[in-house]
Amino acid sequence: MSGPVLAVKAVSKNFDGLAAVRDVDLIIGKGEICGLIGPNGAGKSTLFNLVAGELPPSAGSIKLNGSEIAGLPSHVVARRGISRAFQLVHLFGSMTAVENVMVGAQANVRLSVAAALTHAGHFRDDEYSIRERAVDALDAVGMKDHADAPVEVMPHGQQRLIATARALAAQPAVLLLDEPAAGLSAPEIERLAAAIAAARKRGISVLLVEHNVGLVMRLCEHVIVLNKGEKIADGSPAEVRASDAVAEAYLGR
Amino acid sequence: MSDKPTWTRPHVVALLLVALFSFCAGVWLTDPYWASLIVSTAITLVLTMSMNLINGTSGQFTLSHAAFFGLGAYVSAICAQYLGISPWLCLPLAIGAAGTAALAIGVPILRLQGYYLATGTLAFALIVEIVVRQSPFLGGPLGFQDLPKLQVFNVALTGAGYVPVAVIAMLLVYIVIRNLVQSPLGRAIVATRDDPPAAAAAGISVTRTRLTVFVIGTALAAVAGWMDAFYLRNLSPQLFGADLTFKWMLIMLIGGIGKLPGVIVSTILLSLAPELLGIAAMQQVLALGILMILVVLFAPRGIGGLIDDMRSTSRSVA
Repeated sequence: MSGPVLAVKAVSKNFDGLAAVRDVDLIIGKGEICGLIGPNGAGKSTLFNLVAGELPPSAGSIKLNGSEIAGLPSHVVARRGISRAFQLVHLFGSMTAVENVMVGAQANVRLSVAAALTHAGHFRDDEYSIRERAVDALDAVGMKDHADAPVEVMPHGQQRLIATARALAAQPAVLLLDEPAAGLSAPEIERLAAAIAAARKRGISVLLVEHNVGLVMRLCEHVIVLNKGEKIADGSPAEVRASDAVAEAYLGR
Repeated sequence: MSDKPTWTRPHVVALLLVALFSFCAGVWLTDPYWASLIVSTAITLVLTMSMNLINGTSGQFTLSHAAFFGLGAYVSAICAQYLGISPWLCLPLAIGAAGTAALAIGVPILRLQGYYLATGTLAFALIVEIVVRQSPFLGGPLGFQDLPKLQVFNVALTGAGYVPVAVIAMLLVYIVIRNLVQSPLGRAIVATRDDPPAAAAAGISVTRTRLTVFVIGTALAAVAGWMDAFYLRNLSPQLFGADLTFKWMLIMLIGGIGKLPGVIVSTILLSLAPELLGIAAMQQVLALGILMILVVLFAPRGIGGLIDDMRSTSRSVA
């Protein structure tokens, strides 16, 4: 084992003096699934946006496989190997399911203008392998049969699975999932859980924000609890569940 | 499904275009009037298809297309007349000049979006037109006269002889655009139009992609400029006129913005119909306006939308 895949150190984010995230540490090893929970407004999404490069941190460092990524723009962070699915479903509305996932699958492919205009050289083979990877990712979330359906008319749960498949198809080092089970039916949640477990088997690390506590406790070996921008617990699901600070943050006193 | 790749389907459109070409080839042998109609339709097709790439496929509503059309024509004229370069070699030079200009103007101006982008690009186009009209080096309001002719083995290509040049150039532009749309870069272009944050999360540089498609689209407008320059061989600053951009935009909207087959059908219909029906230029603008209103009321997604509907019903019947 060669050090953590994602190492977040003393990261803070202030919005006009308001500290949304304060001095948070977070370490994820290869193939580890880390749960991130906390009440509404705890700073989970802000932390996600910091890691994904959507926002620059006010202070602290974020390292992916040992190299600093804090402050890099989101498309560069994505190419370095961090792939995310948003809390609100963001799909490419004019495309079919498989086309959406192909955009994820081509994340590591150089977009050559010459090849695009002429379709010369390995174009067909490359295109075929992009499509194959996309279909595999759709298969992983149980949506292979809907590959050629336009996403615009899909039910919300299916759209969310497609968004997860798109993030998976990039074969990232770290997968960020923001409430991937929200709005999913029970069988769809099972498919999602299976897809996340399969991703871990391929060595993908996962950071999972989720309100479905059952899912978090089942999948994660490691759970972090945020409250008011600060980390209040960090440990195994059982330890976190037993923590007084967590009970206080969720239930009040 | 996976053993039938997506890029085989639209060959139907290519076949239709070739069929049209052979029909036209039969006609131009005898009739110079048809020849001029075919050449001008081919030029307009290049312009509407490339404008649709920028405004439709990539969703950047720009109004500077005529400026790059004029630029392509004028660069061709300068190279051929002042520098004595072969008219054929003028094509890559015109493409290069327009692409470079698009890169230079695109970096600052494509930071704008929506109405601001439309206004900014329109302002750029108007400035270019004024500058061209005022420049003695560019022939001022008169432009260029008597450009050399395109030649193949010492045979000058004029009148009906120009039809193959125009149609082949147009087909090449069609193939290039279709290839682009059905490529990883094409998906990236549509992704940045549909959802920029999600595109960035998939590793796509939104700014770079927008700039790339703008440069490609305007370079293709310069191809149309080159086609026009050596067909008419007399150029005036009217080529830069924003009224041309608005005409192509109307054709594009009637065809269905972002829908290439619809835009092609709309361009062919609207280029041929006024001529065949004998409608004068002024009435043409009026007719286009009325047609636009009808399209908005009864077919808001344009001809391309109707084509999509027909395809999906025929698929569900079969």
